[in-house]
Amino acid sequence: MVGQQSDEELMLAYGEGDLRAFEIIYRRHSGGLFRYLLRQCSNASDAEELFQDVWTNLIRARERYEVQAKFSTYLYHLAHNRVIDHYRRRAHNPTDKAVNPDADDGGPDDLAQDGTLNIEDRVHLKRLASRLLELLDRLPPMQRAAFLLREEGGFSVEEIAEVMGVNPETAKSRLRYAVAKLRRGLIDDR
Amino acid sequence: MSPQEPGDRSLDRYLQGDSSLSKIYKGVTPETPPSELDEAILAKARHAAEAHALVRRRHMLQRWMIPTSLAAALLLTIGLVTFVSEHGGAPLAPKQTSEGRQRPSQLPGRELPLQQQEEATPQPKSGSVNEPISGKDAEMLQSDVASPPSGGSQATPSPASAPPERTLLKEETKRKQPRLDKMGETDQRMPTEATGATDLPPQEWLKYIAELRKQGRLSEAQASLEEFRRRHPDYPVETILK
Repeated sequence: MVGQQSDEELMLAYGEGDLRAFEIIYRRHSGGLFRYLLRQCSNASDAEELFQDVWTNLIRARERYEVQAKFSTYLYHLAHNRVIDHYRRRAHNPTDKAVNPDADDGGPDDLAQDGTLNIEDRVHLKRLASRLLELLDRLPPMQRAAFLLREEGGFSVEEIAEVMGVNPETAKSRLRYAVAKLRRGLIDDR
Repeated sequence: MSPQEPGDRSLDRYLQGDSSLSKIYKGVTPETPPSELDEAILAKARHAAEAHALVRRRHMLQRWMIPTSLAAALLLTIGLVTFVSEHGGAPLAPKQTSEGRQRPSQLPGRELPLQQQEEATPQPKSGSVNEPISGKDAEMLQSDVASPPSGGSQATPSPASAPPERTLLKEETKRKQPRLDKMGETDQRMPTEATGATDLPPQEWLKYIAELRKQGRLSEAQASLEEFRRRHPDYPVETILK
């Protein structure tokens, strides 16, 4: 059954001309990829342009695709590279040099532990979510990318490193800073 | 191995997947791409898949083109070789001729006079196949005959007294006539045909001339007419040829 096939099998099938396989892949990944790009650009129009570029690149590369890693890693790698190009084009510095790598948060380990986060309270959660997006927007792009790859792509640290083209330690460091800053920001907002 | 830093412990808890940070993030309204964008991308994918199928089909055709051509050429060659070997490597016309040569010995004697009668009577209305043959062709055909009569007389004897070989000769002549037409030897044949009609009764001769005119063989008709007038100066030509 086509719907139960892995992403890699589907992509190979699409490389052989199976359009149905592509539609399934698209349905599986379009939402997460779009949000990843949207949060990275903070501009819906740019995000849509990048989104279309990424899928177009994937379509072009269909015949060259080989299973060397997870398909989703490959897809987000295309997206990540496209985001970096986007930053460069807009003379935006994609590096996180401004961030002090030693400035670990050392803050609260878990918001829920404070008892301040009532998950059942949807209104409160909504407000927190909105605040989280603001904080996310303020993160350095690479830390933000690491966090979004974890949340939207569901990647492990090693996979994040692969997508970003860095070693796992760097990826882990970026993710750690991102998580710490977001937590601190949410607590400070209370 | 260094002890884990507080940040690492926090990250580990986050990576376990049930942190409040992840829950808050999941509470964010999940934006999705606009439907027009979905359609545009799927259309691109469809177009690419169709182009791919087209290219594959073309490659398939190109891949089979040479083998198919070779197979067709081979079949044609085999067919041709088989045909040639079945017919003994000789063209069809000479084969018929050889059959014709055997015929006189196979035919019963009573059939010979009928053939001779046919040969003796020109049949101008039946087309070029049955037209009289020229003396030149007769010579040529005589040389084809296996056993020519002694003395090498090339004069055409009267049909009634012709031996079987002569009958054969005339039969051969009838068969070869279309070939002569194709060779454009009309000019060589013309005077002899006109002369050949001299054996006809005047009435038939004139009909023959009229037929020649109808067929557009005007020079032959003219030559034949002149011969007719020489032989039958008092015969009323105009009434019939009108």
